[in-house]
Amino acid sequence: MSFLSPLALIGLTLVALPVIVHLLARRRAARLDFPTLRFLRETPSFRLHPRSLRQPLLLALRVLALVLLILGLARPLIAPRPSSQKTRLILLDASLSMRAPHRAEAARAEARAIINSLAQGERAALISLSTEAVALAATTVERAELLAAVEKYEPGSGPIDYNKGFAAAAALLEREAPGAAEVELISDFQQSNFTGLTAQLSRLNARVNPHAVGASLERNAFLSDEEVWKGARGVELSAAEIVSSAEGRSGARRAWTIAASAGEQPDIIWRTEANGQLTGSIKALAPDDFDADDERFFAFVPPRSARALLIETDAETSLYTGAALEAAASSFDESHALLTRQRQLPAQASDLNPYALVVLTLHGQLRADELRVLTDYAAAGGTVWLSLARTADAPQLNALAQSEAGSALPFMSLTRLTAGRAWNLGAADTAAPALRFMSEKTVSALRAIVVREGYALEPRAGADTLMRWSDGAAAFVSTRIGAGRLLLLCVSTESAASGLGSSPALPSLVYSILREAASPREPLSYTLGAAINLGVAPESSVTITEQSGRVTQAKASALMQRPLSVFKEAGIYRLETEAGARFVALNPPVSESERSLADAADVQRYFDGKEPSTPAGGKEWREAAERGGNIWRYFLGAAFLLLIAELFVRARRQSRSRLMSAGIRSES
Amino acid sequence: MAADSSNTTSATTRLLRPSILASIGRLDLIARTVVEGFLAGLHRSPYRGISQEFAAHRPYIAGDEVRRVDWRVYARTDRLYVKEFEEETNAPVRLLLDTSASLKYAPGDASKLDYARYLTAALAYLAIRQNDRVGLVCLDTEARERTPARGGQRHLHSLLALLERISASGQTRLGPLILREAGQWKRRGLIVLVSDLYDAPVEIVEAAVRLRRVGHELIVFHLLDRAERFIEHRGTREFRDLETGEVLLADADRVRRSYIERMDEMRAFFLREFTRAGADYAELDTAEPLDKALAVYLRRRKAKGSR
Repeated sequence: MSFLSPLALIGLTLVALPVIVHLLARRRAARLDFPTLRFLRETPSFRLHPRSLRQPLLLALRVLALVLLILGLARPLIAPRPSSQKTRLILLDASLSMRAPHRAEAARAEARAIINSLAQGERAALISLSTEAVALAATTVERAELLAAVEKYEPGSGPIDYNKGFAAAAALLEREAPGAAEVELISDFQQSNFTGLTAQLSRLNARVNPHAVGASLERNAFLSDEEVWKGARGVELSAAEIVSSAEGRSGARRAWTIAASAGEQPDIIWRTEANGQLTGSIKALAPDDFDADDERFFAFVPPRSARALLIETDAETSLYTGAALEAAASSFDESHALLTRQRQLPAQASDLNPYALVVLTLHGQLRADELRVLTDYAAAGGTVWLSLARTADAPQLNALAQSEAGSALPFMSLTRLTAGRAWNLGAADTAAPALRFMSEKTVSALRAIVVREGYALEPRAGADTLMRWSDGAAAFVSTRIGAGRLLLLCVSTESAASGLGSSPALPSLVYSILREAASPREPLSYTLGAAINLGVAPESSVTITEQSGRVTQAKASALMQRPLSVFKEAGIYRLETEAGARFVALNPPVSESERSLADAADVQRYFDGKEPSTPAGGKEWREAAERGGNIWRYFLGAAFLLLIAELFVRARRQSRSRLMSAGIRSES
Repeated sequence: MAADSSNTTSATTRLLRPSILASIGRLDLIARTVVEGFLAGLHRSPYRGISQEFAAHRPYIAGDEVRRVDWRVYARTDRLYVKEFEEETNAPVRLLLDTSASLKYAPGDASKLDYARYLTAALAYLAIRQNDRVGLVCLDTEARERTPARGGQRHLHSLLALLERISASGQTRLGPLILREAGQWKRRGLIVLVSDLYDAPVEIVEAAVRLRRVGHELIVFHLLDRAERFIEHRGTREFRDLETGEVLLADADRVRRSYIERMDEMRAFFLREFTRAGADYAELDTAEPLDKALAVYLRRRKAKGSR
């Protein structure tokens, strides 16, 4: 039986009231002076037991009526009698940490022991649980089948997600006949994976029995927090090597320089792929007890140096913008942050490749060939920052934007701001890549700038608006072109156009744009089990080539929704889509590398002894339970009848007592 | 006329109820009210004929008591005549009053002791009115307030005053005490025991047998209240023994039947044994009028006189 309003059951404490009343009634017996006790003493039933209650039948009726009343108010649900058949779901932790010495074998042994202890006719299923739950054996009564499935169990390289396991178990139980269910969870209970369990557990409607296997590692070394940048000597790669031991955590940052297209050292191996990406792996060198997480893979587009090219189209903007670029560049390591000035835009995009950022203020017209050079440079990973001067030829730019050659421009049209009044910048998207290194103070300073001449844009679809004018029109937009970006600011640093050139906010704005331009465009690696977005249609086919040369096919949506079914192991994968080839590196989660496991108290707190609020069962059971939801009326009716019976018994007892006195007297 | 007589009788009976007598207060008034009321209705009551009978008139001679002159005859005949009764025994009447603590039981307005007091006073009044000598002994742990048998109004007043001040206390052993008192009496007479008889029944009966054996007449008035006899109390009570102070917790409703059986056994025992011993045994409900007791007394008194 379960209850729709279980809080009403607190009222059961009221059952004590009639008992107390009867006890008090017994204690309140009045004293009576009587001539002699001789005949009372000779009466066999003269003595009332000191602890006995008066009128036990009345008390029983009262207590029972109260209990039924409260049970009725708690809205009981009486479901059809559940089947005596019991179902056991055996969840085996298949996360990376289970690769620690002896844990997998211990898990298998525990699973075998559970299977061998199954009662006759008891059903069980075996589920391997990591980021996803995979059924190794469907629900069956065949022990041999289950034992064979145990041998198929192998820990993977991903993290564990208990919630997924419980959700899978709940789904499996939905399909089962109603009856008792228990979940046998076999895991090493890695310390960091217990968050958010309670809600899912409460929905499971089955008792969870934890089985901890394995012991904490003595010592584990692993790598994390990789960073990369372009230095003077080449690509600089660094990572933190962390040693987790019984004494605590210690760590040191290690750095590698990738100067050649390929190379191999004891702790690093890399090569340059055909698409320009650098792929390889680094290794933790500290001795430890767990080897599965010692190697860390990477795959990235080599970043550009923090070098900027300023195209000097006029003296004033060159002065202000150049000064800001000089200041921004000085914030970087001097060895690789440089500013170059040129009068003309190079004719070839390849001439721009050494630079992370190209800055250009547009006066008059922008030719289609100039735009092509800039877009080619951006497609290769560069960042182009255009500003519109007062003398920009708006009609020509609009015409170019409307043409096929100008499709890379981030706007559909632009118009001059109304002359004769002052304008200000308004909202800014400080989460956008180009502005993410700016402080709020800089944004406020930008808003304080008075603009006399500028342009308002109608952004092209897919373009991001970084800042707006105070009236809401777009003022600063960005669009992705290949691996790079093109930024367009609708005001220049000319003093006649605005106060931007002399504003202290300008160096900060320039720094943020330059730093973003010099950063890698993609993460160095993904965590196993995390969704991978290739930026293609979900139904697109992806050809996946593993390091071993094995080739598989998958939908792009699968990489988003079930990544662990596609990428089972850490490593480097080549992904080929209609947009081209790309390499991704996958590493196990750092949470699986911590040496210590949850202590017994934590495991106890989360799992042990949690009885389900309602018996497990399928939809049919629940529907039947809901149909039986009116049973409370019968409880209240029964309570009412009992109260009437109580009144009747009380009245009858009183009259009988009176009659007995009178009757005996008359007999005498 | 018949209706008038009936009204008079019922009014008298009502007057004799203990609850009404308690409101009168003074014991001498109570005694007179009871006895005169009783005698006034006697000729119309079932007790008719048990009074001391009038025999004849004889002419007054010097030395006769003036109060025995029949003034009604003098009024009609203008001669002095003296009333002569059938017999004047002048035998002593000894009233034995139980004053043990159990007599303090008072379920209503009057206690059993009050009832015993009214009864004893009425008997004394009646006896002295009939020229008997009356003595009184109060019995609890000892024999107290021992008053020798005498006649006359002054003696009656002293008896009534004594009865006014007595109180109930202690336990009693009636049998031995009665025998001890009887050993001091030189003349045989009428012994009236007023008691609830809560003592060793065999000892009491033995005492009665021995009193009868030496020639005493014996009347036993057994006082029992209705509430006491049927345990008219309800529910669980702490019953405290008025004599011993002992306390028992019991549910009156549960023990009632068995209690009454025991009580009836005792009543039957006394009735049987006193009858066998030749004593008059009368059970008196303390809620009922005293006329029954007076009738019993007169019947015994007449029997003794005719012997």
